[in-house]
Amino acid sequence: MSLLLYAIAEAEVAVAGTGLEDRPLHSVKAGPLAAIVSTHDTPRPQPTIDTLCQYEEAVERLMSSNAILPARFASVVEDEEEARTMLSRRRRDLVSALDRVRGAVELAVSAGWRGAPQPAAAARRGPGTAYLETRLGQRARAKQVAVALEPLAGVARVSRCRLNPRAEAVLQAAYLVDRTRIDDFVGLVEVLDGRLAEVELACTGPWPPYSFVEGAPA
Amino acid sequence: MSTARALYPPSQRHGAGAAQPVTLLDLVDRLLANGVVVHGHITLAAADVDLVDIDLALLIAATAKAGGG
Repeated sequence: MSLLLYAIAEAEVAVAGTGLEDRPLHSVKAGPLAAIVSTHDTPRPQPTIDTLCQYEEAVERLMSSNAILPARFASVVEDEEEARTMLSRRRRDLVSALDRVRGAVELAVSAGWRGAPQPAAAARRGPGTAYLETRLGQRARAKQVAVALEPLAGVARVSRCRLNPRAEAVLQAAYLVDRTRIDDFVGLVEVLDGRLAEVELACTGPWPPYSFVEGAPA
Repeated sequence: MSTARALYPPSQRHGAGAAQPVTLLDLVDRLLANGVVVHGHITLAAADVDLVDIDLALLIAATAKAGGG
């Protein structure tokens, strides 16, 4: 028997419903904290789309009425004692992380090239140089987009941004936003999207605060 | 601009359009690369993965990180 971990919450958390394999969720408490888990024979959760979504559904259900720190998918502890030990050992960090996210959600903003992907710069001096020039140009443009999105940080508690996280992706950012300010935030994303000619913005959420469970943002 | 809320039901995720793959990648990015970690106890079975439009390099990197943790 092992326990699959979904989230960390305060000890008073009300837990109901089921998680993966339709197993019931329950909480393991230690001091002011609780680990929300489901019990499995030998949990080997596979990262298929449906399993990821089932997991996400359970975490979002918990988030709807509690402050939670979502666990990384496929986090397993052997038994309740191990869960309690983890909660005790990391109590201070977990308590302050819960304070940080209470009443807030994660909103994601990504920027992609509007229309067709940007063509690579013509090679004037050999393919290696052209590649580097293209990459430097992409980074410079991504930085410009990041600057253009700075007003979003003013509507958020915390923000994190990655430039050129993968091919064809200009920028990927996560924002911790008060529930009361979600509409303000989304409205501002629409305004900024209208101002940017080269890139198109996509905003998804609300998400549980996966990107904000640790101290200083990366 | 495209704005998406929850990703459910599954049938809606596999539709056409620029927003869908971005949302799937966000799901993978969040659940596999972020969130509270219980050190040394990530069990991921990557062999039977059945994914659509996922950046495999990202998934492999997340899996490798989990395996070595």
